Amino acid sequence: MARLQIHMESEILRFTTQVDIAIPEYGFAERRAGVSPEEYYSEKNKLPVMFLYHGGTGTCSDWFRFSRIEELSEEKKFIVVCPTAQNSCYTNMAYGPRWFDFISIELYDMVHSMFPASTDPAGNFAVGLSMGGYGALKSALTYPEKYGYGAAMSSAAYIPQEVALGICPLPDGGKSIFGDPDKVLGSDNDLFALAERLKASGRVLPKLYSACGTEDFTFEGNVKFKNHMLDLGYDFTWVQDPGSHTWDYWNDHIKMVCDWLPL
Amino acid sequence: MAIIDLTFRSAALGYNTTVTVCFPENNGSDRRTGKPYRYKPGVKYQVLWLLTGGGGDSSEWVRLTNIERYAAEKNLIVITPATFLSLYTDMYYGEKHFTYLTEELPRVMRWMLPISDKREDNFIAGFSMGGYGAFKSAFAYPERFAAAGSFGGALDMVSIVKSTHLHDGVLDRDFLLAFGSLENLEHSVNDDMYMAEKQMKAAKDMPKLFISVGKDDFTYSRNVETRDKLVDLGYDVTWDTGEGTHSYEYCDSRIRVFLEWAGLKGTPIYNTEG
Repeated sequence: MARLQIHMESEILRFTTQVDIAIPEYGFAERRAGVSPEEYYSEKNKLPVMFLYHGGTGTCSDWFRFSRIEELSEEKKFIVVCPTAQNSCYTNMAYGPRWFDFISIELYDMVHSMFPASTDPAGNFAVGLSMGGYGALKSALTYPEKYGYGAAMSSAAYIPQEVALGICPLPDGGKSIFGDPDKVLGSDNDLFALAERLKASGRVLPKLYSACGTEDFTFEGNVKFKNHMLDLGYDFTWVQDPGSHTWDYWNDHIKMVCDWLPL
Repeated sequence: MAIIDLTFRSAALGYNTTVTVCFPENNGSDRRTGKPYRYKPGVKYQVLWLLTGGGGDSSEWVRLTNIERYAAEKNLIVITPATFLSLYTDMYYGEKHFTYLTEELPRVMRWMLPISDKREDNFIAGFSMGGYGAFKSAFAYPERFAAAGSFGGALDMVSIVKSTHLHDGVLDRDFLLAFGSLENLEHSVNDDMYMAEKQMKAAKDMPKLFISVGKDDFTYSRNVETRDKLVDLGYDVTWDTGEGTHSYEYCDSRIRVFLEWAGLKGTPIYNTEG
């Protein structure tokens, strides 16, 4: 398993940021299957990519340190890309950097230009936990032609709704991220509205997945989102089970996400 | 310029090893000066395989010189593996570091990174033991490299061993672990001057060579002798020297000269299939 820790300047962010990537190597499974190193390491071998987002207060190394993702990606042969998004909710901040554009445009292009990554949307997944779950769903709903699959665990899908209601638990009520609370609903940061517009547009739809523990503080919001998406007719897999906002939950569920994905 | 710390499990070495990679990333100043967006699928870069001195891990060149900046100027990807005490050798007592360097590393890196596999786009160089490693690779696989560079290199390994590292017929420790014995070393792929002569006599098209050594480097006179031997064999050798000792500081002062001499394209290679 190759692990790459990258420091790179972003034109969009206008500063240097860190990205952690894992790329599976030729190993025992390939040898047993009769694949030669030359075949595996050939230019034709492009792998699926999981863009995997950390949660609030986290960073690009979280998933590698706190879960089995590296092992899973080695086993199922996909590339993992973990950007750093600070506490931005993966959003083009009203008063702050354009994190969403960096991740869904510049980083997406960088990965496909630099590494042996499939350019087929059926091989590109946006996955995340909590704030990263919101980001993953937003990526897939904004750019379904880039991400065929979006998956969230304990997602913060309902945060824009909370901002509009004045009950957002983020510092400053989410203003630096989402701007004027009266303008959040209906914006491109509002996943409920985004999903409606995408459905109406006739564009291709991503396949979506959302898992949430019944004791998790995001549970109610996630149920509302699930109901909205099923009403709209999305291919939306919902999982609810005992658990809360913990790495034990996310470490268990990332494996279930991998089982759901076409890997 | 961007930097990657890369760790992967090498089959040749049998353990996880690190590689440091510099690559030119898309950034604001490039775009303000009108350079095209570089993140297109199918883009490739020229590559410099840059080797550390003995004992080095993969971080030395980037920490102790400005190679990252110089490489960015030339739109060059630089790859620096670790060597520890292997002398870039398939060790007699130890791991297969030469197989790692010349077979496994390029195969894996060419798949993972957008580096060109054409001879005209591949260069190899190193400091001290890395100079020996670079020339040894170039002599063994001349069809892969356009040019090779040595900075304060430990060139002419047999002479070095005979004069300094052989006592009562027994090699000093690092050399013992790498080669086993003088007999094993002589006339093997690790005998750089033997390979230089053998390949030239076989009328192979050999890479051009850059030999650089600081005026106060303790390897100065050996480098002069090696230069003369290689010129006599018919090699295209460029001699380079300047103020300095056996140090990365000297390397930093001369590596840009090497990059100019190498004749790099200076731009990414935009593939028509992208």
